[in-house]
Amino acid sequence: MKTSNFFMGYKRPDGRVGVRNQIAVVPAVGCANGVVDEICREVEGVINLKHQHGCGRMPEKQMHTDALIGLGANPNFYGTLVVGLGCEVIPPTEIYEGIKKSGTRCELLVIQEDGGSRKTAKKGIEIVKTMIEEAKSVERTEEPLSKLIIGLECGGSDALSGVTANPSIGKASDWIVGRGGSSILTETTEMIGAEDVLKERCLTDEVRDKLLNRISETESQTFDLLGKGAGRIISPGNMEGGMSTIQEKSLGCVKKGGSTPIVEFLEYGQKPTKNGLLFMDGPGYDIESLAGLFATGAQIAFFSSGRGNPIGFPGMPVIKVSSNSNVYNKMKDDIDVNAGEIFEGKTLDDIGNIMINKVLSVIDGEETKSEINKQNGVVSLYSYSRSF
Amino acid sequence: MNKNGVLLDIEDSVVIVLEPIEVNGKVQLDNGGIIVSKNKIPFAHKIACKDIDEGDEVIKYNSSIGYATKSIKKGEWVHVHNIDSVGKGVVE
Repeated sequence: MKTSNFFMGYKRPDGRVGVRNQIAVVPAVGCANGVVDEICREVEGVINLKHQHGCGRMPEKQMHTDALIGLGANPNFYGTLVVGLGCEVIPPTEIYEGIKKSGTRCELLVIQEDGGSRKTAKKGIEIVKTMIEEAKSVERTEEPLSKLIIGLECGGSDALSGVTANPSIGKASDWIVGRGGSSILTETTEMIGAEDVLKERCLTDEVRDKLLNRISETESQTFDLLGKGAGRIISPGNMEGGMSTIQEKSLGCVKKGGSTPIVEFLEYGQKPTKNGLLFMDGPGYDIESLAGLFATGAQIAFFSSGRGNPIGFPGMPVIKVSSNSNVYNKMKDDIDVNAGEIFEGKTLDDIGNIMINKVLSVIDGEETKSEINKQNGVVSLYSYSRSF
Repeated sequence: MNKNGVLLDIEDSVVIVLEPIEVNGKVQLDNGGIIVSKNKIPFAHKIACKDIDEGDEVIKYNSSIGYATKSIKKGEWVHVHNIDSVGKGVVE
């Protein structure tokens, strides 16, 4: 499909480009959520990145710190306010410094030092109001599509997700990669059983070895936890939707990656250094997976579903794609593109082109259904240890 | 009769049905083939398009999605009651 190689975006100091120009408030720890809520209640349009993490866990400390920095520094944000409590495991200053390093306008408040919840909220409200005014002066400029990173996600899949929605997303992935941009496959659990397909797709031996090792480790962990049931580590809805094994789910899941080689292996939330199709380690659980994708710096995501899932992500456009017309007709208000039309006369290429056009209009400012519906939910990060 | 079954690859042993199928219902494929269903099959679920012996791999997308836990005849519903996953590369 012929499209321009440029789009109008918000160029950030580090050279990355946003497709939205918003202000975010991120707590360093769940204990600061009340203050963050208060600030976001009082100032319309501010993005609330509240979450439950930041304390009580050690093994994930660095991964969670990096993910919160990555989210706060996502190019869709002009500025970010960090709200810490003061005694948490993840130092609020580390998040603040990390976000600032990327050039994102950033401020820090610490509840224990800024006079408690009311006074901190009051200061926060003033800070985000100032940032909103500043953000208004950022003009959109013509930027190459190579700056675009698209996250690829499937959730509430059915047996048609891998036949209609995911291969159509794969077409859009091939398109953005063909223009020098990037897309990110993730959901390591949903790679179990697709190793034979994936190993042929890795650009280098290093990427292949990392990917296959991580899939194997993930498979071993599922066996440790679930024993013989590990082969069905899929949700009840997946099974009602016709999927019988994790292998069947995986083979459909990887179709989102289209046909280009996997050029880099990323840890959860890690910023990419290469352009092209990327793989990020992460769970199959959609909201944790989306958080990791947006922490890498992805500005937009595709999210396919056969059962229907309304969730989006705070501050980020998520394009919902249905795998069949039944779910589309039931949940029209939540779905942006119906790939089920493939069974009603449209071809895979037709739907692929609809996807590409949808990306182009969404990065140009059109709101996705999950943005319109404010289906932001709560930021949830990949975790694997018990809290203490 | 409209197509109501999808055979993804010529090597596949299962077909996806695009509407709920009744016992003795017909599943029509793109290539003109017709499978008569031996079971009631829910929307988007799988029907065997060839006989699958117990222990044999079940093929979809021209890849293994598991193995048959009992022998499956052409026309039977294929799901968790008669196929299971094969763990690969797992250290037990």
